[in-house]
Amino acid sequence: MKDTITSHKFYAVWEYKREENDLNEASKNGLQLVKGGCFHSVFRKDNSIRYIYQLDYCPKISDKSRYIECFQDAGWEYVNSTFNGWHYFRRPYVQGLSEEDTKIYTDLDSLYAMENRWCRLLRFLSIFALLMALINIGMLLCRFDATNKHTLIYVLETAAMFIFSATSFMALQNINRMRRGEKAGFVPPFQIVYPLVLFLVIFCMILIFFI
Amino acid sequence: MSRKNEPLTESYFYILLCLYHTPMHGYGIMQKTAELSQGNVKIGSGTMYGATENMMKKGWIRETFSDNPEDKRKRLYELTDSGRDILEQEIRRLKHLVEISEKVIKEGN
Repeated sequence: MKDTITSHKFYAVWEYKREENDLNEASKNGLQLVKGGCFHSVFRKDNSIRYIYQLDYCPKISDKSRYIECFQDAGWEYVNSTFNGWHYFRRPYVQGLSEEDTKIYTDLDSLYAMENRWCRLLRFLSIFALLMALINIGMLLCRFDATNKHTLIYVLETAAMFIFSATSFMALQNINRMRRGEKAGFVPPFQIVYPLVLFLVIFCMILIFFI
Repeated sequence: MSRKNEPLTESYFYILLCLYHTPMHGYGIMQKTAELSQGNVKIGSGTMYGATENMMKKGWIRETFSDNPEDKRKRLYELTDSGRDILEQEIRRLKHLVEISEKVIKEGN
């Protein structure tokens, strides 16, 4: 399979617009999406066509055939869905087509409703991580002992959870800022934070297991 | 505050309005909306899916299939009695708003 290319680029939920732009750009350069995914996307080389992409987040679909029909009727080709509820759609690029015609969400109410679906999840994860971090601190204070081998592990784990919670929280704040028409603020790059947190947590678990 | 009296979004309003006389396909609603609003209101597929899903849950519209054998496969949306009520209520609300506005504007102050 020489003409398929795999990409492991991944995006945070709040970066879905960036992913759309990257897919559009890739399509312009002759790389057409075959399967979109969270950590793993497959492209095929084909310079004969150019697409415009849109992502939808809809984890609970009562009637998938109605869902896909709703897009196909309006000229969208369904590409695929990810395990966690993202759906990829595309249509051939037509020069001069207004931006309105290439959006699947045409009013703010419905766009915000879609974003709120994953904001809720993000808020839950952020609070959950914060709680875990606080519990860790509590345990740390109870058992604090300079010679305790586990102290460092708890500190690391707590830090990882704080970082995760803070990143999610900042991303949520940023969404609200952008909705109010303010300039986007700083959000730590998810592509670095997420692997770091994952690494720290796994590292701590291994340490606890072996020490 | 009664939920019933909350204003409809333009998309919701147009979808209900399109279905007033006859059941329609989703795509038919999108085209008719663009036509009725002279291109000012467009309903994208994501907006359309969410709106129809929501209105079916609320019981304002329901799914139905065409009697026409050529068209049997295609899903149609049909206005329910409560959907008709909602639309008529909204039209009354909007009329009232326009009347009040005109009155205030004519008074000159």
